[in-house]
Amino acid sequence: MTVRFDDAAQRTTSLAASVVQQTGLRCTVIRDLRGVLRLVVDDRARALPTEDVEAWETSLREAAGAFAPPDGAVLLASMFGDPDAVLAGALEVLPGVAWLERTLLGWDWSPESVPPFVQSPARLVFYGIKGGVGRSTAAAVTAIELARSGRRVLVVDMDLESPGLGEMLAPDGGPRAGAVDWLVEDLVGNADDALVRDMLHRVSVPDALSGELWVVPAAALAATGAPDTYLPKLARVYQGVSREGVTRSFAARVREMVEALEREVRPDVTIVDSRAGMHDIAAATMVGLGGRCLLFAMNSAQTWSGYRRLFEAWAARASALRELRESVTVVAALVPEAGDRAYVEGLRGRAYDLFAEYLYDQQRDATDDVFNHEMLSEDAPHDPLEIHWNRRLLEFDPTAAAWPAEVRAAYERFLAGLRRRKLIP
Amino acid sequence: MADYNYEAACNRHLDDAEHLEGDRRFANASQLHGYAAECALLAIAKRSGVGTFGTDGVEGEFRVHVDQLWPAMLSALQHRGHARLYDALGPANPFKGWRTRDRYTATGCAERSEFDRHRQGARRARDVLDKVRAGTLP
Repeated sequence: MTVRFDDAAQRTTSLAASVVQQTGLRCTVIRDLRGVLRLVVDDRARALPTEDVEAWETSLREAAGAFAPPDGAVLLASMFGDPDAVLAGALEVLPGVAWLERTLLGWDWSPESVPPFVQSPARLVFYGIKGGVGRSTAAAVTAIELARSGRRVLVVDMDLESPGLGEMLAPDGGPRAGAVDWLVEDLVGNADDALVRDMLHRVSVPDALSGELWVVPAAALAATGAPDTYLPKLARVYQGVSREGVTRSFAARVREMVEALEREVRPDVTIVDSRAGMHDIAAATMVGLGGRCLLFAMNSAQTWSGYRRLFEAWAARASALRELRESVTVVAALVPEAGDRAYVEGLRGRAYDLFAEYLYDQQRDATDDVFNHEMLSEDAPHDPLEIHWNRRLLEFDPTAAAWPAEVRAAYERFLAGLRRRKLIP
Repeated sequence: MADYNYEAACNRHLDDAEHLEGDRRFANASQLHGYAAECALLAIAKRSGVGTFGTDGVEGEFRVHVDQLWPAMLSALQHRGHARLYDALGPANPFKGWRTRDRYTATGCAERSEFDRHRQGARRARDVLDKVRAGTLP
């Protein structure tokens, strides 16, 4: 019987667990770029009999099938010059068994990529597991409202695969560079202050008083006359950069880019529009920026299926979970005009079920210090902020001098909720 | 292919280099660092499908010593899309100026600064090889 990708992983993990039980030694399963599995046994404390190692090698080949390497399926840590460097980033999945994934596009969930919470400037990530839910428009509305209230705001369009926020806030063009330019120039150490200044465009906000709004698009918006180079850049930006043994992950690079922009602008609030779906950008912005994250949701099967996968991945990486779950807030996007209360209650219920299953702690008794909320708890992470649908949103231009009353009403509860929950000043 | 075992040879040369360093015999230790790195690079090339290997070991552009092998590898890795391996080994050649013919000279490579550079280069090549063996590179 052909051993498939999932079975190979499961069976190899079981083998690793049995080796741990047999030897008391820590094991690491490494899955490489092609999905090929290797087992590293940490024998630094004591030597292992050759016949045992050979037996495990045979077992791993049987377990993993085509996902076993042609040789060296079982390796001993003592063989490596610097075993800790080889196994860096492995995450414990079972007692004594760790996993190390090597992927082309890899979620950066390691503890090192979860920075401390950043108080100032406030960082707010707009994320949605599905696109087309008004996430970018909500980011633009929030940014403009903050500028009107006298705040200095930085907005970064990190929806690199489907940019929009930059064009929305700077419809007449402007920046000569975007986020994708910084990320590609950084690959060769070229992301300097001059580039940062080229990325920034000040948006004219009517009635902004002392407030300022600066936008960084995903790509340059200024017409340069040169052939479009966006796709060749986009194909390269997700890499980490290694130089003489030191690696900066994609998430770390995104964080450095945001910090460089913040040094230039000195904002009160940084808003990041993240890519929809499950992608490196999601990990980099949600995990890697030390900010708060808005999870945009429609009450649909596809939405909850997608968030379930995301929450499963978080729950499996306990090192990142505690910071993540306290930083997220659900947003009910495009709440329908008719039956809006029933819709929001339904969405709240679905959100609560997911949070209770994956993110909230089980409270064993009243004295437990746990992260938990009741279903009807106001302002709990699962209690959704609301953005109401209105047909005036179809042609809404956030940069217009006056917003239609219907649009103001659509975002009223959302903005009030952001302030009440101290997600924005 | 004869009894070539680049990985075992790399470890052997590195281990002996460390013994010589302990006895402050930097010139010969430096020579062995060069051979260790050469073996590590060839092992990496073989595992990565870069370079041609026949019955008498490596052939063609890679059949040189480490001072020339290191830049040749970097160039090949870059042109064949092995970006992560290139990043791990590049961009500089730590064995620039290392010469196998120093084994014929009275003093060999005896500059302490060069010795340090060669030792770091050999260890980096070995570490990259370890990661390639483990599957964490490329």
